[in-house]
Amino acid sequence: MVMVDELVRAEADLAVTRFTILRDNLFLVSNRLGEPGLVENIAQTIAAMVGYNCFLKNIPVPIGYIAAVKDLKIASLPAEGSVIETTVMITNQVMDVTVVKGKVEQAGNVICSCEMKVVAKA
Amino acid sequence: MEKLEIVGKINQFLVEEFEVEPGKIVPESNLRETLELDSLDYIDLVVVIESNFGFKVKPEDFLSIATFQDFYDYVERQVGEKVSV
Repeated sequence: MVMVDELVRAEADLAVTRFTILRDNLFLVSNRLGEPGLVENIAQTIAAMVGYNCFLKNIPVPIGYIAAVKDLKIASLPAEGSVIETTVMITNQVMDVTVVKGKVEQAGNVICSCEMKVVAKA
Repeated sequence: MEKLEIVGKINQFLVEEFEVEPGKIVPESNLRETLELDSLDYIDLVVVIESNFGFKVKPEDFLSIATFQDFYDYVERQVGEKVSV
């Protein structure tokens, strides 16, 4: 399921996306986006950043896998119908593993943050 | 940076990052076994070394590191090379 509506900002190592949580979202639990949905949203924001940068360079987009999620903090679960804005920033790259800091905001408040390790294979 | 300072800094981030008891960090102990490192933990180790000491770690450098003492010596050499450049 696509968990990103709009790529608001994209740089080589930073991206921001926006997403509206609709009623048919697979990750809804009691009308709120569940924790896996927030993690998936961060992962798809990373994918959008990588994909966009590959598009600009006219190179194939690699397949990415979540290798690890660390220091996951969730303050609240956004309700159906709300809009979330997600920021990801690459902090390190070691071999095929990219280390990324991610945060999800709703109405200017950080509701989720974590560090994610993503493995990319061309 | 003095060797004692390097060792202190390394031990401090190993305790914080890998939640190892300070008493288990003994120079002749095996680094991987003591810290129970898996492949992704090595990524964390590379990241904390780079952020604490400011040099780039090559993953293959770990092939020659078995004990904590090897690790201290490696960091000391790299810090020395960085200073002399």
